[in-house]
Amino acid sequence: MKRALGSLVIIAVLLSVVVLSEIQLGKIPREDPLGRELLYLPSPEMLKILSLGNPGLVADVLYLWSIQYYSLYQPHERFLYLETVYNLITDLDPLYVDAYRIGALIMQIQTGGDVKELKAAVRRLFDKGLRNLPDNWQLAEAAAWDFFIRFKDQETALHYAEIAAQRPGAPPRIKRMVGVWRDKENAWTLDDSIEYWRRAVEDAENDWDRTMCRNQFYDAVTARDRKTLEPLLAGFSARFGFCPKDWEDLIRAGALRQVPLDAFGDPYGIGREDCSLVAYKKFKDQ
Amino acid sequence: MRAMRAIAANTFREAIRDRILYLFVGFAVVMVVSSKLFGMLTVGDETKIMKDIGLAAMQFFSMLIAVMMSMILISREVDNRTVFNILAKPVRRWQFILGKYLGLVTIVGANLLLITVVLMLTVLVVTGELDLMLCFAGAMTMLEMMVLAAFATLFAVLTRPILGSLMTLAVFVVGHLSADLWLLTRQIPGALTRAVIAIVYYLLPNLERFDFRTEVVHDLSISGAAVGWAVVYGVAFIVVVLFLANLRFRGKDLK
Amino acid sequence: MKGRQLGGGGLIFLAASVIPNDAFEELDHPIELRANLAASGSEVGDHAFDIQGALVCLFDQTFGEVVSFADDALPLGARDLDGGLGRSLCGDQGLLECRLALAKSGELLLHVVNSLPELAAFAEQGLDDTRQLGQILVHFELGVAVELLGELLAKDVHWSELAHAPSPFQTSIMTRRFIFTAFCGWTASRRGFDSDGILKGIGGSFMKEIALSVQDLRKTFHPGLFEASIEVLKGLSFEVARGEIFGFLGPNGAGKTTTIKAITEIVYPDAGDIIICGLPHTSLEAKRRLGFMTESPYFYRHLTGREFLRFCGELLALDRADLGDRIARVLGEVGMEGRADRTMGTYSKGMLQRVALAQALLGDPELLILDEPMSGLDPVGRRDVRDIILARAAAGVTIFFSTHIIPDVEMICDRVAMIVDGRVRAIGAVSEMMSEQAESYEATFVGAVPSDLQTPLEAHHVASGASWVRVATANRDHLIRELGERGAQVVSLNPVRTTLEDLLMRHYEETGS
Repeated sequence: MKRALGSLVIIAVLLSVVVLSEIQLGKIPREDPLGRELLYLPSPEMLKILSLGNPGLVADVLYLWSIQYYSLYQPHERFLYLETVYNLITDLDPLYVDAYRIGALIMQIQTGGDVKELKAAVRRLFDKGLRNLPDNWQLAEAAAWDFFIRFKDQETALHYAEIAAQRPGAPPRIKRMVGVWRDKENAWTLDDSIEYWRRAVEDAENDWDRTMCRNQFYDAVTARDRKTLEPLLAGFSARFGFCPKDWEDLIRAGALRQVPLDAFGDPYGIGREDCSLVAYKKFKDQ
Repeated sequence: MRAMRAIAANTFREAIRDRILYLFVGFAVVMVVSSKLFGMLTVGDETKIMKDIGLAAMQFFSMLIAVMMSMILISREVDNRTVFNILAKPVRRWQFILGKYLGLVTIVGANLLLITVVLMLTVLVVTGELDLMLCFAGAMTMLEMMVLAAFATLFAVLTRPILGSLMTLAVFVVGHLSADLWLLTRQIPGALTRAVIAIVYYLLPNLERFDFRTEVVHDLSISGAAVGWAVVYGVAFIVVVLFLANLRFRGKDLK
Repeated sequence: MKGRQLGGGGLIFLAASVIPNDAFEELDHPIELRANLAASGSEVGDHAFDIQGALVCLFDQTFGEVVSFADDALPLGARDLDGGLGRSLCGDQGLLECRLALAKSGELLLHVVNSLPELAAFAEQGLDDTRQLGQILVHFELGVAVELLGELLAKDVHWSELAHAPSPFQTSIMTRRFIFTAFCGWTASRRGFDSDGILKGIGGSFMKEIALSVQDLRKTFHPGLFEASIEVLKGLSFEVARGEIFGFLGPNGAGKTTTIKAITEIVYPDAGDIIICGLPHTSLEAKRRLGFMTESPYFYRHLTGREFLRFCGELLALDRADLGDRIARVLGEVGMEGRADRTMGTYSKGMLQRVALAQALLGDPELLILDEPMSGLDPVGRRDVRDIILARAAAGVTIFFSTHIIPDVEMICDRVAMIVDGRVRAIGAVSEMMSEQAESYEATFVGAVPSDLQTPLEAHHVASGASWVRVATANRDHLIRELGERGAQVVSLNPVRTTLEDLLMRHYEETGS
C-alpha cells in the first residue's frame, strides 16, 4: 500500500512539473513577425498528392486553421500571406464557397499595407471564386456589398451586382439593387442600405439567404449607430479623462437616455482600448 | 463451394472476435461523430466539413482495417501452420484463397456499412436531411477496398506478414498518387521513359477512379459512365490480382 | 481369405502347404505363373510375372490368412530389412510367444544352412526349448525351399514369422536367392494344412490393401538466391499396409515432416509417387479418407473447439444433420467434451493437441497421419493419445505416425521405418529394430558415494544429496548388490537408451551391409 502511494506521489510531482513548465512556456510571447508559420506551407499540388484522395478535407483543415489563426491576431501586418493561404485552400477545393467569402472578408479588415494592392487581391479572390462557381450568385452579391461598404467603390460594386443579377436563382432584390445603383450612383446612404436589407430579410426565400440578409441589416444598423454613438464616447472621455465603463455613465452624464441596443436587441459594448463601439453580433445565425 | 463458404465464414468469425477490429471501428465512429465539433469551428457551412471528415474516416479506417485484417487473417494463417489443416482436407487451394478473400471483404464491408450509417445519422441529426449520396460514396469506397483487399491477399501469399501489409499500404498510397504522378511525368521528354511510366501507371490500380467524394460533398451530378467504368475497372483488377494470387499459391511449398 | 503384403512391391506368390515336386520341376528357369486372386477376395485380378527365385509362402489355415511375400528386384543390399508378420498372423497367443521369444533371443543369430537335412538337424536341436530359440537363417534355392517347407511342416514347426532380409549372401542379381529368417516356436496347436494344396493365386501388389504407398520421393528446397539448395528427400520409399500402425522414426531434420507434407500435398515433391488407399494423393477422394494431425498445432484463437470442428466438418463436406453428433463423439473420444466451448486461445498445449486429434478423426478416416502426436504432452496426455491410436487401429484404421522418440514407437507400432538423411534406412518390425539390451545403465542413489564403490564405473557424479553413476550392463547386477550391501537406497535405475544413429549403425553392422 505504501509503495503504491509513494509511486502515486512521485507521478503527481512529475506531472505538475510538466504542467507548470508548459504554462511558463505558454506565457512567453511567441515571435511570429512575418507569419513564419506560413512560409512552410507546401504547394497545392503537393498537398493534393499528400491528401491521398481527400483534397477537400485538407482544404477544410486549412480553412479552419486560417480562421483560428487570423482571429487571434489584431488586424495589421500579419496578413501578408493571406492571399497565399486562401489560394491554397481554394486550389484544393475550388468549390469551397466559404473560403472565398471569408478569405475576402478577412483580407478586407486588414489595416496595414497598400490599399490598392489589397483591393486587387480581394478582386482576384472573388473573381477566382466566381469563375469556379458559375452558378453562385451569393458570392457575387457579397462581393458587391463588400466593395460598396468597405472600399466605397461603387463602380466595382455595380460590376459585381450585375454579375449576380445574371446568375440563375438571383432574388429580385439584386436586380433592384442594380437599378438603384445605376441611378443613384453617388447618393446611396446608410439609411438606404438599412431599408434595402430590411426588405431583403422579408423577401428572403430560404434560411441561408435570410440569415445573410439579417447580418447585412445588422451591419448597416451598426454602422449608423456607430456614427451617432462614437462621438458621444469621445466627448465623454475628453470631458472626464477616461473612457466610460458602461452606458450608465453616459446616462448619468446626461448624454444618453437609455442603454443603446443593436439591431438584434442586445446592448452594444464599449471597447476598452480605443473607446469605440463594439458590436457583439456573431457570424452565425441566431 | 461449401468449403469456400465455410472458410469465408470462419475468417469472418475470427475477425469479428478479434479486439483490434473494435479499436479501429471505435476510432472511426468517434471521428465521424466528432466531426460535428470541427463543424462548429467553421465560419459558414458546417455540413461540408462533417461530410469531408466522415468520408475521409470511412476511407482511411477501412483501409487500415483491410491492411491489418489481411495480415491477421490471411498472412498469419499462410505463414503459420493453421493452413495445413485446411489444405490436408479435400479443399482445393483456389478455394482457400477465394474463401479467405471473401471473408476479408465481408469484414471490411461490415465495418464500412457501420461507418456509413453513423455518418448518415450524424448528418441527419445536424441537418435534418438524409443524404443518400453518402451511401453511394460508401459503395464506391467499398469497391476501392475490395481492390485493395485483393492486393493484400496477393501479398499475403507472396511474402511475410509485415512486409505484405506494408506493400498493401504502398499500393493504397501509390493508387492515389499514380494519376497525378502520371500527369506530372507527361512533361518529361523521351518516348521510352513515358512508355515505361505509362506501363507502370496502367498496371497499378488508380484508386482515384473510385473517388466521387467531391461530387457527393458538393452535390454535383455524377456521370453514369464514370461509375459504370469504374465498376468494370475495379472488378477486372480484382479478378486479375486474385488469379495471380492463386497462381502463386498453387505451386507454393508451405513451410 | 485375405492376402497381405509385407513391404516392398512386386512379386508376391503364395503356395499351398505341401506342393508336389513335379509342379516345380521347371522352376529353375523363369516361368510364368498366373494368379487369380478372385478367390482370395482381392480385386487385383490376373498378373503374370517372372519367377526365378524360390517360392515361399505360408498358408495358414488356422487363421484363415494367407501370408505372402513380395520381393522386388534384387539386389536387396540397398533395400530394407523386411520383416515381421505382425500380430494378426500370430494371433493373441502367438503374439506373446513371438515377442517374448524374440526379446529373449537378443541379437540375430545367423545360421546358414545349405541343405535340408542340415536344417532338420538344426531344427531338431533347437526346437525343444522355446526359450532358446533363435533365428534360423536359411538359404535355399527354389526346389529346396518347397521341400524344406514340407519337411518343416511335417515336423509341426510353427512358422510364425517369415521374412526376407537384405542378403549379405547375395551374389548377383540373376540368382535370386532368398534368405529367410524363420523364427520357430512350438505351439500347442498342431497346424493342419490343406494337402490338396494348389498353387494359389500369385499376384502383384495388393493395391487395395496398401493404405499408403510412397515410391522414390524426392524433394529439394531452394531457400533463396544466396542460400544453397537443401536436398531433404533423396528417394524415399515405403509402404504401409492396411490396418497397421506404422511408425516413421528419425532424428530431427531427417525429412519426416517433409514426407508427411508431401503426402498431404502441402509440399510438392520433385519426383516420386504417393498413393493413398489406391488413389493418387492429389485427388479429393484420397484426402477425404485421410485424417491429418500436424506437429505443434496452432489454431484460431477466437474460435471454440466445437466451432473449429464444425468448420472442419464443413470442409470435409460431412452431412450436416449428424455433424453435431459426430463432433460430440469425437470430442468424447479425445476427452474434451466439457471444454469444447471455450475459445482455443485459452487452451493449453495438451488441449490443443487433443482438438487436433479430434479434427483428424472427425471424418472417420481410413488413414490417420500423425506428425509427432505425443510431442510436448504430459504422461497422461501421451497415454491418452496412445490409447486413442490403439483403439482406432483395432477398428481397422491405418495409422502412420512420425516421431523421434523411440519409446513411443516401441509401445504401439507394428512396423517402423527409420529415416535418416532423406532416405529410409531400415524398415521392419519394431522388435527387430530395437534392441532392449542397453549397453550401460544409469543409477541414482542416496546413502553412498561413488568413490566408495568397487563396481567399475563408466562415469559418476555427486550432486547435493544424491549420487549418479553409469555402469556397463555386465556390471549392473554387481552394482545393485553392492548398493544393497552398503545400505544405499536406489532412487532410479535406467538403461541408457541408444540413439537413433547408434541403432542404425548397429543395424548396419549386424547385417553386414
